[in-house]
Amino acid sequence: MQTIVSAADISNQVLEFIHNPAGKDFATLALAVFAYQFHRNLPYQRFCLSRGQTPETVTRWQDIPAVPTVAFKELDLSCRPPEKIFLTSGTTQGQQKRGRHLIPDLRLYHDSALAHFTTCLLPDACRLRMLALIPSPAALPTSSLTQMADWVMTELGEPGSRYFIDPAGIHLEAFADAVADAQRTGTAVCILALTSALVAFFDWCEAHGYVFALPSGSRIMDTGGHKGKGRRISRNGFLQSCWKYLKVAGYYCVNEYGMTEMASQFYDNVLRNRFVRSNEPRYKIGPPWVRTLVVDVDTLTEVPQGQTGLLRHFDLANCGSVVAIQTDDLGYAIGEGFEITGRAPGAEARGCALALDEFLAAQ
Amino acid sequence: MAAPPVPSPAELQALIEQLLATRARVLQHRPLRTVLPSLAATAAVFLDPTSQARREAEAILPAETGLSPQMIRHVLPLLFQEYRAERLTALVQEELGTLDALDTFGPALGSRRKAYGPALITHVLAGNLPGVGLDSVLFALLVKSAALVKVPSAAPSLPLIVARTLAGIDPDLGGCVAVVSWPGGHAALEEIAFARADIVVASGTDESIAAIQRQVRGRFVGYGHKVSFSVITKERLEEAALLARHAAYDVVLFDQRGCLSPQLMYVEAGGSVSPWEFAALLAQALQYWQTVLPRGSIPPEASVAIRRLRDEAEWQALAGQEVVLYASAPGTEWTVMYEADRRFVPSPLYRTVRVKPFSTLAELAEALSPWRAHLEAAGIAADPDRLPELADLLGQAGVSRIAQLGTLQTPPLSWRHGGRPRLADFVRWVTLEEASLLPVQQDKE
Repeated sequence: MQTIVSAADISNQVLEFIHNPAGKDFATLALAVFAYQFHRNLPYQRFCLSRGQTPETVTRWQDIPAVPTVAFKELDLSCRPPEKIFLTSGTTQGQQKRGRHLIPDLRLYHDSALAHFTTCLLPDACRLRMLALIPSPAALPTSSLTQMADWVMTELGEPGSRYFIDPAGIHLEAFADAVADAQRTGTAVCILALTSALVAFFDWCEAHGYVFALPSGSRIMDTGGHKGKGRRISRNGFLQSCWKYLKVAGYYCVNEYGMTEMASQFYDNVLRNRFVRSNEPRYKIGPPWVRTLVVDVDTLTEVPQGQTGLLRHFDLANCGSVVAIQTDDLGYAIGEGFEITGRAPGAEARGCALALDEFLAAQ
Repeated sequence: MAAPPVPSPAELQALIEQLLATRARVLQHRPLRTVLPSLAATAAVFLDPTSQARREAEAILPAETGLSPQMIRHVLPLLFQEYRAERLTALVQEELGTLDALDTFGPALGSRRKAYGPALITHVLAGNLPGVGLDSVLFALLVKSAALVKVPSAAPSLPLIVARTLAGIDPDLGGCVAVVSWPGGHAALEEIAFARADIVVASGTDESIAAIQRQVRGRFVGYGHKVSFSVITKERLEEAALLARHAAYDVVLFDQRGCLSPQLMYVEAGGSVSPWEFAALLAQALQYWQTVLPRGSIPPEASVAIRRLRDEAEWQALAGQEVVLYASAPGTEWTVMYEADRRFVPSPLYRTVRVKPFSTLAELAEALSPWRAHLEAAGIAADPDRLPELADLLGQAGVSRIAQLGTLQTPPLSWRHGGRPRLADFVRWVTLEEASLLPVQQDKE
């Protein structure tokens, strides 16, 4: 029988892991978090019991029952009263229920998000001006991405950092002015963008005949892919456009993959590779407190390394809700991470590109 | 079996000229009585498990269609059993009045009448379900039309084997059928194939059908996206286990991928078995059929859609909603979801069924009404006294076929797919008025 730890204890253990992951044992802490959640999160407990799984029967972190993202639409999956609630993007018609991720301890989300952002976007310990083509908190207060971007802006951004999507809409001209200013003054910047918003900027540049050249060291984080409306563009096409319109090379372009249901995020490894002199190909990496399994789409059993399946994430920073999340995202394991090959067709469009559509449609 | 090579526009033109010439030479004036035996003999080859064509189809079709070898062996006879000579004769008689309606001017009200089939019917067979669209090809020959058959490049084999078998039995008739293939949307070829045809018959998604229809200059017959379902009234639930076996059989055939596959079952409350108990029986029956007719391969997106449906059901149940899930493990071979919500919701297919209760026929009619344009068929088990009322309700709801539970996938030749006659829709009637048979009368002065 495992001892049941208190909420503060388990949160502190995870925070300690996030602050100092070297030498920490993921498996032991994952099982402790699972045992805590099993006892504190009663809907999750019923889910586990319906599968005959309890902390006594689960001995490997890989076997912790994973909660599908649709569950967040049906029930509040929280171990304690929430400090903050993030919502998945819904549709403008409001036909679909929106998922709710209740976060009892925002410190875990904050520390996890900033730590891995720093690893993947700022491996050179640079301090940069942040230009955000992401809705400001005022524009989209329930979005987890907005929350994360806001922490990045206020805690890691240099003076001059600002949002170009606010309650009044998207301001491509002002964004272009900020880019031109960075170019003129030789100030390297970090662009934080919804992929679709940056594509809209590229289209705008094309229409107006503008081409910019950001100073070296400038970088781009994009997220959201093309889940919503708007022009579709391949990843290579996107990277070419980053070079063509901004003179930011592909290895300074880092795609983020995250979801409302997870406190931690994944990023392309390219920028980190450049600073640790690794020749690894581009793929997504998570922080040490997250593990990802690839499972068969039909049987949900683990597939052999390299084979495509559904991604299942185990995120210790989800300590206050559920640690194991089953996604509808298709991908395969590679190196220390994975690559995404797409969202399963039939799965609903989700994520911030849709949030942007929704937001702009509401203007 | 490889698809025929993609023709050049000139080759397709030449092929059509050749089809038209052959049809004019050997079919246009041929008595129908001599056509029927060849069609029936062709079908008979596929009913003979020892024939080479049947064995070839059994060997090739599992990989091409994704259906299991057991399923292919099971459905091949079902696909061809209706094309016996007496059934074909009855069909012609029913739709055209007499067997020689296409041969001579026969008596009609105060005149004589003869039916003419078009010179060329182009058939677009979509998807990889075996047998879909083959009926139209045979019906085209029945009205003495040449058939240009466009098959999907990934699933060309059954039409090719059927055409080859026909040509072996009756070279003249075989010369009136050409099987071709090209990537969908090939503008140059489609313009020729669709514009030259008097009639184009196409099955497929609503979008692909609309795209084809725009290019057709003659008549167009489209079979778009349709869904079927089953209805069981409370009196019949005395025999619930047997009904579940039949209902599951309808689901299992063709892995539920056909337009005649039931996607939902409406079960009346108040019988000796409750609707959700029926769902449990249906789950048992699906498990039974899985051992006899295992499901074939399934695309990843369908697996994910089934998983998603299961996840929703499981979490709705955990949230206290009236939802019960029965599911195969560990794979997605079959899924039954009972839900009290009566709304009609299509299924992700591949043996995934929703069971829903209803208390009055009015409730059933209300649930069906938003789907009017998409309903194909209903499998029913109903009390005989209530059958007329139920049948009329289903007819009003938009279905074109009401069948006994367990026979949804084996429509009789007489079924008017899409709610229209089949042969009669292909022909043009010429009336010869009696007066013209008499000598011209002197003008009366």
